[in-house]
Amino acid sequence: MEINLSIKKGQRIRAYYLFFVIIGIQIGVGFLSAPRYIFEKAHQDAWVSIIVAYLFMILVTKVMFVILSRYENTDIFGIQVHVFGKWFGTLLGIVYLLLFTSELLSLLLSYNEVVQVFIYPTMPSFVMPILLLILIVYSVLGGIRIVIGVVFLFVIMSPWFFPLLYDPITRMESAHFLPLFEASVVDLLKGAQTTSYSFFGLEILFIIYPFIDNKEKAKRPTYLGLTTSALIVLVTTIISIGYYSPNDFDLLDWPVVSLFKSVAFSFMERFDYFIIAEWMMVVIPTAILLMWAIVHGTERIFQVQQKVTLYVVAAVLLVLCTFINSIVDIQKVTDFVTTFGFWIIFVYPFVLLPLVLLKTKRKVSKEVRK
Amino acid sequence: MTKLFKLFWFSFLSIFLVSCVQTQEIEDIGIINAGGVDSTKDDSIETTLVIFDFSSLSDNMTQIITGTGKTLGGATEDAELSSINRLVPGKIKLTLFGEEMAKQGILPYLDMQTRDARVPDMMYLAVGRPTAKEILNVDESEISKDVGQFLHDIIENHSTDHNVPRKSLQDFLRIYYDIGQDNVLPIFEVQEKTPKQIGIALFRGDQMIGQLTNDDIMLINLMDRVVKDKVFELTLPIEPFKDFFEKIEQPHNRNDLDLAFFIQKGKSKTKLVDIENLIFETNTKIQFRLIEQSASVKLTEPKVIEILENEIEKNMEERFNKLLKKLKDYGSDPFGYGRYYKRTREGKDLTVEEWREKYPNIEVKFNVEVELIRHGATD
Repeated sequence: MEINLSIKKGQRIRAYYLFFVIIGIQIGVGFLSAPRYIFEKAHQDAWVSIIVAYLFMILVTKVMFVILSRYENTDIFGIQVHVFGKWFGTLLGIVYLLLFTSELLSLLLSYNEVVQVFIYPTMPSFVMPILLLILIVYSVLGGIRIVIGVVFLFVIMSPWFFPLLYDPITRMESAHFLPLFEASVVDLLKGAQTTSYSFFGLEILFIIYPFIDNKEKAKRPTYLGLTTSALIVLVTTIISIGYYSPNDFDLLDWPVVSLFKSVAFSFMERFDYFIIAEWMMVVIPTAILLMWAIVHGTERIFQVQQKVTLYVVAAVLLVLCTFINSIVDIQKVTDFVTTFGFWIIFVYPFVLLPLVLLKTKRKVSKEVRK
Repeated sequence: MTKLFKLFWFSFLSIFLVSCVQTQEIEDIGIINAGGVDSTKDDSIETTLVIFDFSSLSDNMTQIITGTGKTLGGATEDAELSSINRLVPGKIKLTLFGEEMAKQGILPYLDMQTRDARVPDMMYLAVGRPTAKEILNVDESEISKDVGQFLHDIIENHSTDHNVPRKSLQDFLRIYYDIGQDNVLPIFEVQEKTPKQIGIALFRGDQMIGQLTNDDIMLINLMDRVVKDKVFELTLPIEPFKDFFEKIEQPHNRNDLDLAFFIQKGKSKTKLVDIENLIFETNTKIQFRLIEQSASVKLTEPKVIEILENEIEKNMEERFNKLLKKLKDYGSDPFGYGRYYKRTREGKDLTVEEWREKYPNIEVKFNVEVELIRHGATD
């Protein structure tokens, strides 16, 4: 495998699209239940946990940029092969592919579950995944430019409903936040770790980096994107803490959807139904980017044709979605992704950094970096 | 050829996937608009549902059906047998609990309603006396609306001027789960063939334990939020105003001065002054407009206004103290003093039982400060 990639001019993207890519991949279905899980760990200081997680995420991104900048134009697959050698590097590449696949699986399962609980309790579990997968396959077939285009459009078009949260905001109870700073440092860190699930997707930077045309400008849109999605999570968590009683909060599966239940207009009584349907537009960018990463990664590692992987992965996911039905199994998948993802996304870059620095310093620096 | 193939797949999926989704044609469903829950003698529950039936050919779209069962779901299922339509809960606007039911505790029925994501969070809760069934079976020609909508509108429209406690399912549950506050709900009774709010049900946890008068709700609201545009009446002793009557013959001899006010703006601030002994201080500020007085007291002199304001302050403080005493006897805390204790460092681990124990011993200093800003078009 070539360590450095050469991307044709027509396939490159401008750096500022990273802003949309980051928001698009980070805000997904996990976001709908995130406030509850963070609250479970850090209680009324959950918002501190989010800030801690945000700062840590910025640090991870900095490390990722340092790693990437040591090479001319490569992605995580190339770096791993370069650092760890052909066999072990490939193996780690497969770990990344597995991570993306399990994230996508967890996304499809959770979205399907929300739809079944709120709108169509009797709908068979394969319907929603089929509809989503058709869209995903269709977009990914178009290649990187189409993927980015879809992400760009959907990220721009979907956030209009956030102002509707004014209604729950007026019902917030300030006493829920007091006393301040009660959670111990351990609780805060645990909360921060839980928050990291809503920030998954960051690792796409490792894959998409070689496609960026003007790399020197890549940092700012990335950090802006991270800040935006962290702000979205922070604001909804703060609203949720104020709106729900602390003893009631951990009984709710999707607090963010329930927030919209209190919004009603004379022409639309139940806004939450609308939000769930609308949420498809939030899910699609995440799903497309993950699928693109899987397909592109497999091509990089095994030189398999993109179409083949695309259809095979879509079929496998569909079968899995059909058979993983019960809430317990879905929870198991999500838990697995949460732990697995945390180590790969937030811890692994710190392990990789010194190795990359050593390796690029010693001998290859001249050849690779030029 | 591939294009044709794609087109085929696309239309194939679009046509056949449609059947996977449960259809809900409006003629085939009965939309529940309001529900009532009553307890029966043999420990099961009876539900009364007001449903919209769009398939009916008669003018009257609403239909009232009842069913019994051990759970709310079972009772609804039973009620469904007497309707030709499948019932859907997506638009319930109001749930009425019979008084007996409310006294036994309503949480189990609320749980069912939050568990079912299709039930709206914004439906209002109320208590029906003597039973919910009786209220919902009121003759609709008398109120020219379906009864569910009627009660919903009473709560909705009057809650803005603070006569009626407006508690949605979500509000009720939030207060129920929050430690240090208790709920109040309106009580309806049929009077002269129309449902009317006759008082306020006082809750302790999820059980109704007493009743307050319609006037008391204003004092509770004053603690909770900014009260605006609310009329209330007050009776003061006439003694202090003796020297300030208009120089005309008094219409009749009276001992009291009856006044009606219009509250322009009223709000309160509560502080916990002494954590050890649980002494609270509530400062209420009210700006009001005089709209009616029974004796012709001259309001031009600043001194009269001062006396008037002082008398009102005294009267209000007394009313607050009386209400608090009553509430302490019931052991229910709709003012929410527990919240002020819970938010401190000492009280952060407060449990419901602890607060119930501590509540009768709390002391509250009510300081009311009123300001007369207008007295109508005459002096």
